[in-house]
Amino acid sequence: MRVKVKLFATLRESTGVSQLDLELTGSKVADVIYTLVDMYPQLSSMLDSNGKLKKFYKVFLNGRDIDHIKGLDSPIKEGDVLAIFPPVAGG
Amino acid sequence: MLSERELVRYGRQLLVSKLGKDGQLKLKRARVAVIGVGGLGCTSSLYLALAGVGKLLIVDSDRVELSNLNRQILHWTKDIGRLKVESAAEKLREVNPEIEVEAVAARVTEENAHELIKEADLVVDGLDNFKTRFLVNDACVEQGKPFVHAAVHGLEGRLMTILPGESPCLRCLLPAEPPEVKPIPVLGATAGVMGCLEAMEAVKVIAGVGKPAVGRLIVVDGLAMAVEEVRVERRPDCPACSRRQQP
Repeated sequence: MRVKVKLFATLRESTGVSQLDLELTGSKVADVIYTLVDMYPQLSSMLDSNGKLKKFYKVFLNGRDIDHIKGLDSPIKEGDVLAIFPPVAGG
Repeated sequence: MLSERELVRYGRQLLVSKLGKDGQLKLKRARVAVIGVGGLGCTSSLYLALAGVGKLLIVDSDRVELSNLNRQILHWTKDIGRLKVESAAEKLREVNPEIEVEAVAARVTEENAHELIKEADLVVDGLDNFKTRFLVNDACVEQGKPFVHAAVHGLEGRLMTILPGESPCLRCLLPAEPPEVKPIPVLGATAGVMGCLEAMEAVKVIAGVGKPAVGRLIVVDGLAMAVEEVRVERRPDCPACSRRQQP
């Protein structure tokens, strides 16, 4: 299936990519995250030593925080938009 | 009451639909605390002063450095070495002598956070780290004070307004404190845009007009010149706001 991924702030800086259409096999948000990390190993900074997403990296599926769906197990479908926000602290 | 001078000074915004004299009087009676007078705090406090917020409390413990001057518009080259609150208060008083400005040269700590915001009707985020933002968030939630949050990075800015008891708070958005990374890249204009949006939100909440960014994170993507919006929900287990009842 094909989903759209938007990257922000430091994730955009480290990959040089602000958005991409991702063709992947899988059915969950985790599949998108791991596909991305395979493509851009520098994105492994989002994951902790257990391969879980660090709590201060926010992933929104079609505008909704995946923490309020099923986390990395949240189901995805063709055409979904995933936005990944690293923390931004400057003032 | 608004004086003749105030009626002229604020004339253009008195014409703003829904704001009017009632809104202006609410601004005049309002006390706003701006925590941090760096890039965000300089811009937000300047526009709040210009808008006629009756009392501004500005809090910061730092001194002006050369590296601040690309974005901290109340601090000028001649101010290097001065306390930021002194430098900022001087300009704010000059730009609008009708308002009161109180400068507090202090670092926000667990001990003083509650006291610092006690007198404020609304608190504006001018901070550059989440450790202090969480302290201010928690104090605002506890005291039921609206808190306008913003943060910047590069050409990107984020904004969310917190109305304790009604909305998710900063800890609902970020359930863990991110590690501090310094220095943070920031274009001055990014801090300016976000500081202006903070001032706009503060004015709206005080005057009771419009729809603030409550339960919504607004992401200003300057690189793409686009605005994204995502939904932020309350966490039932939020350590700060879960104990506050929804009205």
